[in-house]
Amino acid sequence: MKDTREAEIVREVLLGDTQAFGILVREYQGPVYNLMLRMSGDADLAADLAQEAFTRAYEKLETFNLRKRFFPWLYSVSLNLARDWLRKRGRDVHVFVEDASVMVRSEDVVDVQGAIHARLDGAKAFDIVKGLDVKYREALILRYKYDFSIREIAEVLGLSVSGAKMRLSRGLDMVRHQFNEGSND
Amino acid sequence: MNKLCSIAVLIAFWSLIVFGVQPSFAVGGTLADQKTRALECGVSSESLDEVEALVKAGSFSEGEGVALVSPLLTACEKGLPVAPLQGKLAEGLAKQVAPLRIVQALNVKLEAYGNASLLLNRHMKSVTPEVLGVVGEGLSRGVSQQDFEAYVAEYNAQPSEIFLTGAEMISLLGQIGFDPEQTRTMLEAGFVSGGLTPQWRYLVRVVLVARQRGVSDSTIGEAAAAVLSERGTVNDVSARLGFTSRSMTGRVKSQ
Amino acid sequence: MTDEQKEILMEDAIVESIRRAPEVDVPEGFSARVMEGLSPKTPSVWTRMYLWLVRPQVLTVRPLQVIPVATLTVALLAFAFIQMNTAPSEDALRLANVRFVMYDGEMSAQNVSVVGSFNGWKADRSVMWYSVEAGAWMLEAELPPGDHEYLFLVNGERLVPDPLAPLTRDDGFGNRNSIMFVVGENEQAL
Repeated sequence: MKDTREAEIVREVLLGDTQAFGILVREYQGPVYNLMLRMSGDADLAADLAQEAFTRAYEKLETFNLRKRFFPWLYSVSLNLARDWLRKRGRDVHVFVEDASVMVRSEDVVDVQGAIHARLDGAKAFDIVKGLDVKYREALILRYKYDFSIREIAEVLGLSVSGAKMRLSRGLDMVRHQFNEGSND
Repeated sequence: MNKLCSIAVLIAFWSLIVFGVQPSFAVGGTLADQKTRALECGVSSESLDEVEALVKAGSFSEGEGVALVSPLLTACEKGLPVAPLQGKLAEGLAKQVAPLRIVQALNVKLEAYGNASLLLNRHMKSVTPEVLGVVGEGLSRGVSQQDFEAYVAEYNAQPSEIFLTGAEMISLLGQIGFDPEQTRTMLEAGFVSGGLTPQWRYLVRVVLVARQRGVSDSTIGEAAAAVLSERGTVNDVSARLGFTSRSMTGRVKSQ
Repeated sequence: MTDEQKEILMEDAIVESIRRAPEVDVPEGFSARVMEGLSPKTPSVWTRMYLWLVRPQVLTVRPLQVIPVATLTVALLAFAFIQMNTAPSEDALRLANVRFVMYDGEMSAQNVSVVGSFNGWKADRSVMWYSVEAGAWMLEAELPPGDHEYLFLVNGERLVPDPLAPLTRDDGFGNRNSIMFVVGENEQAL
């Protein structure tokens, strides 16, 4: 959705047109729900958390800077909510992640490029990403799935621009490392 | 200027905004205009420059810049203190608060100062900036208008420094929700005995410590009233309540 | 193929896998659920005015008949004109020594500053120094009597209230500031 259109929608909502908020909900419910799934590991909890995230965004809508993109701001609100929830839960939530060390066995293949891609079964790679600490995981997803700019990632995660870049490169390193480990047999 | 006529016009505009009808003219002031008027009136340039720079850098739109500067300009043109609003604006900018929130906070302060000024002028011929500041800040932080009104109505003839001390106590104690009846009682004792000196404004510190130790507001109030009627000091109140001022500040962390 | 090239390829593959990762579908009726729980907003006069001001249009200036924003604000507040004595008080000029302290036994912070009403909320003038002895960040300052609002700025990015401050106050933006009472020369605030 175009940024200007979104700003208009937000203005309408602030002026009293509640239904207009539904447009934003339907646009971003997928990513927010999936974020909550990653954070909680449970579908029902994720739905509750996602609903709360949108509710909170609606309540705080006055604080949204109309000149910026809506999705990064919404993501910030959602991520903070999820973090608060985790903190209250005492961090004893075990997020279920498929065993990322179950790798496609490395084989003697002449086509190295193909081999790398074959080894790097997309689903397995993403499992490793999902298994990373939230700091790295969300940075990678924001960058490569949702095409956030570095600056936007920095804002959402509360980092400086250079901090965000480091987060990304370390995140990639970690995924790569886990692959190399997994496939050394 | 015909006051009635202009107020009618102004109320008409107010109604337009309240009922959501868009006035059919464009915004007349640009940020540059606002800044010029503000400087002419006497608003210091620092906050104006900061807002202007942020608009130029694209962090705020021109409209947001105008909205941020407006309350300062209004305060200045109405002879109200501008410094508290400038401070709030600087705080909001430094904390990177959303402009709407800053505007709202500024307008809350502006309204509070306006009410403070009306309140004080109802009872007093001349209003010092200090007292206006104390009452304005107190109102903006939620102290009840009645508490101030009752105080000002009764004690406005007192010497200005003592009057100011009393106002500060109403403000600070009001902000922490201390029983206003108790505040009134102790102030009365202080005025009658002549024992209310400027250092009493910080009785609030003793109240905070006492509350931490489970002492009730009424016990604190009684102790304070008793000490005031004997023309004692704030330290005497701590002593009466069973702790020394040393124990209040005995930690290395003392600020 | 060099190691570096392999590394790049692997990175590409990882990025691709993130890009193409499937998104789990939201449960049915989710958006309806969300919308049900929302109550309509009733914007205040200030909010309406603000939104009108920031509406995406070009601002044009028309002389004379136009009512400037400041007058509009005045309309909404309707004050009487006041005569005021504007001489500043002399008490305000007396400064007192105060010390800000933030305990950090393990020195986990990299740098800490004090920002507050007395320094325009700008950190550059109030950087704290770390005392290994005390296990704390410190700053001595001279402040005029009164109540001052402040926060600690940790690592240039996080604003943290002073855990030792006896009083905090709503900053009007939804957060809280710590309050320090400065009483007189060398007096200690709580």
